[in-house]
Amino acid sequence: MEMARDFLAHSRLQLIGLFILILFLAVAIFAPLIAPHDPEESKTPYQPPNQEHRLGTNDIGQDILSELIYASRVSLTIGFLAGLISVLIGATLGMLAGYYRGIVEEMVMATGDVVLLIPGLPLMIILAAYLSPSMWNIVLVVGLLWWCSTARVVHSRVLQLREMPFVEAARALGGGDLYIIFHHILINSKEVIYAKFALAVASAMLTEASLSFLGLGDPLNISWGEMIHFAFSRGGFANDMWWWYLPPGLMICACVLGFVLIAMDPERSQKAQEL
Amino acid sequence: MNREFLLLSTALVLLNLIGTGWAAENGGSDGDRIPMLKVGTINQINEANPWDYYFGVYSMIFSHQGLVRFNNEGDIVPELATSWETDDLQKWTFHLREDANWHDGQPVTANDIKFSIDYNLEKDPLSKSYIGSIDSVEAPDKKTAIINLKKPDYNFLNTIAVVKMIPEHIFQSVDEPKKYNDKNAAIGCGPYKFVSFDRDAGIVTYQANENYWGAIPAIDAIELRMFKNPDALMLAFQKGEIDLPYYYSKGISYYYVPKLLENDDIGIEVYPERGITNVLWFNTAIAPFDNKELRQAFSYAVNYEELKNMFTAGYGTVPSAGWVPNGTLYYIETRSLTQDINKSRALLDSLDFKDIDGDGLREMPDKAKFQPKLLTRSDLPDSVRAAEMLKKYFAEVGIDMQIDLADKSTHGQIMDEKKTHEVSLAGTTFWGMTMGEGYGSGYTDTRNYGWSMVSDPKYQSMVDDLGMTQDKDKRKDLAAEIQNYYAEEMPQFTIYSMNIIQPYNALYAGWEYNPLHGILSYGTLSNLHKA
Repeated sequence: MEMARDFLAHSRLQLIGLFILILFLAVAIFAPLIAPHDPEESKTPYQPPNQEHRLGTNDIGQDILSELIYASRVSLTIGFLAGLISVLIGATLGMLAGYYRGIVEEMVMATGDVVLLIPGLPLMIILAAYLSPSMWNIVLVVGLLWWCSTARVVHSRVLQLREMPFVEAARALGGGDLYIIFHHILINSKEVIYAKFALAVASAMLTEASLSFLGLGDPLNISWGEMIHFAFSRGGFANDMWWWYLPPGLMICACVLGFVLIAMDPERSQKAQEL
Repeated sequence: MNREFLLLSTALVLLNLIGTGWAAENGGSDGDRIPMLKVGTINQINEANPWDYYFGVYSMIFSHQGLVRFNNEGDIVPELATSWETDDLQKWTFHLREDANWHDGQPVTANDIKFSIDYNLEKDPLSKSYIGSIDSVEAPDKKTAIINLKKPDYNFLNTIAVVKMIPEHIFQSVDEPKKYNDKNAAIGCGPYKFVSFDRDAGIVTYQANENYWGAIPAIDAIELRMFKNPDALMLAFQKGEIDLPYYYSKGISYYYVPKLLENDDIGIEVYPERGITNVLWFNTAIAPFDNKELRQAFSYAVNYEELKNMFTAGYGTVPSAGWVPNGTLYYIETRSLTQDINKSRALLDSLDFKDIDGDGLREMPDKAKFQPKLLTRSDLPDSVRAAEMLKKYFAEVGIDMQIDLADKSTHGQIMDEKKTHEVSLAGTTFWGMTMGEGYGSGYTDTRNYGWSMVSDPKYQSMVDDLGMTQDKDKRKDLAAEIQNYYAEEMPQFTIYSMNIIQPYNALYAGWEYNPLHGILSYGTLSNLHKA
């Protein structure tokens, strides 16, 4: 009874998360149809919300609502790609370390520990400042520095799995390492990887927003973080233009919440109990 | 008894009057003195080293001095030199003041002047861009310095005005001044002494120099607070946490003004800009930007009216093709810059820059894609936004401009040293416009900083003539020729320029504006008092 209640609670949260993400994906995909104006078109700058511009216009006269809609594309792309890179690296290394153990495990885990010891955001700030401000550099910087926690979690999971009877059985039947990794270990680790991917995307989006806010983002690909950056450097905050800086902030919160909710996987807790 | 009382009272009144008069001469009575002036800026100081760009700027304002300086009208007046003479504009003799001392008590001598110039030329390769015309310096006695130039230079005083003098006894044993971050590196002879640099807090502190040779500073201490962001700076100013938002040689953006006007404790002054807020520079030394029709095509693509409204509101004017700002001596009227898309397209077509593959963007005559790089500073949000607007304008005529953002240091390296830029967006300062032989020649002529890398003999001949000519009528003609040259050749053109909007703490009075250092002028430092 308690388990069923837990499941429902979890799945409800997951559904909410899924709903939020589908909504954001739809906004990003259909941006040209939804946006009331061309986001690059310039009219009178610094207009407060009005009939024509529901969220007013920014410092160079662009419609803020349209910019907000188009910015979802950049923010989600950066989040997805950075999350994907970090999870691909983290899952691959974690799996190899957990499965093969020995020197591979020591090297991967030691490298991961070193990277984990380095304060993430300051290092990303340095790298982003050193590299030129570009959306792809941010994807790379975040992706290449965010893999360690995925590697650790996947490593722990694989350590459990490799000692399970069905893995031993597969090995006894002559299954090769790659066969076992792809058909047994990876399949049974996918919940962990999905969850880490969702969290990595959320973290990447937050990191991108932080870097952009600090002026280290790509001003030519406007993301929600970049919108806040320009609001904060061209009079938005000083003139209390909440319609400029608040909506992108809320979008970041809602999107990150969606990813976090979707990571709350009921199957994962069930599997954990079974194991 | 009554008589004694009358005498005593009269004596007291007289003493009081004398005291008040002295105090007024020195910036008001003690009660009116400013114990601490808090200046906020987004200029980032990295080291308390005079070779750090912005620390160098603030050193020149507070702690260091040159032989001469600019007064509030922009004219040259004495500073460490009380007088000077030259017969041929090539040999300049400066007579130094007797009472100037370094902050550590040592006297300022002609040897320090010789050392400072020689040391700059030897240790800082960039200094050759503005004092490379100096052939030698002599110090025949302790208070006479003779500077010999390689050729006559009418404008030399303007150039030497920004060369800050440093103490020989401190720097003679320093081989790498850019790495010498000792507190002694900041010893100067100006009205304020450097006290500390708190890197983590972003605060630089100066204290009044009680042994200063000039007027006693009216402010006991100055705290320079660095902000990463203009909005954060303006919010701090609105809350009264700082007394003055200060951008070296520039004012604040217009969009901060309405909110500031609501605050009775804040005053705002508007001063004419004697530099230029934003200029598009072409590297005319490289193809295809060596072609004047191409540069003209760029200039016809820009919507100056929209940029004026967007970036300057009512504080700017539509620029003219002659480039030199109105207010410059011998300024002439040239045509106003206007957008003419058809003319821009026709010019590009005539140069064989055509869209071959049908993507709406032009290819070069050799069929390669035409994607000029527009370099600008990433730390200046106004410039980033202006670059975005330019990209849109150029796309309208089929030019696929690529924006290349660089931090201040990288931007400086590219523009000043490497000269690898193609097109660049950057502003100019008052002093910058006067360097070289004036009229922006320092920015244009490849023999100086030369951001637009002009080595055209016709232009250089006009610049050289300006350097050798004292006759006012001839100078006027040459100035007009140079402005007409800019209007025709367009090695660079202004995209917008605006007056300087300077807010300040209205609880203090005595603010004075100087075209070189803005409101942090000597007048302010010696006269500011409680209102």
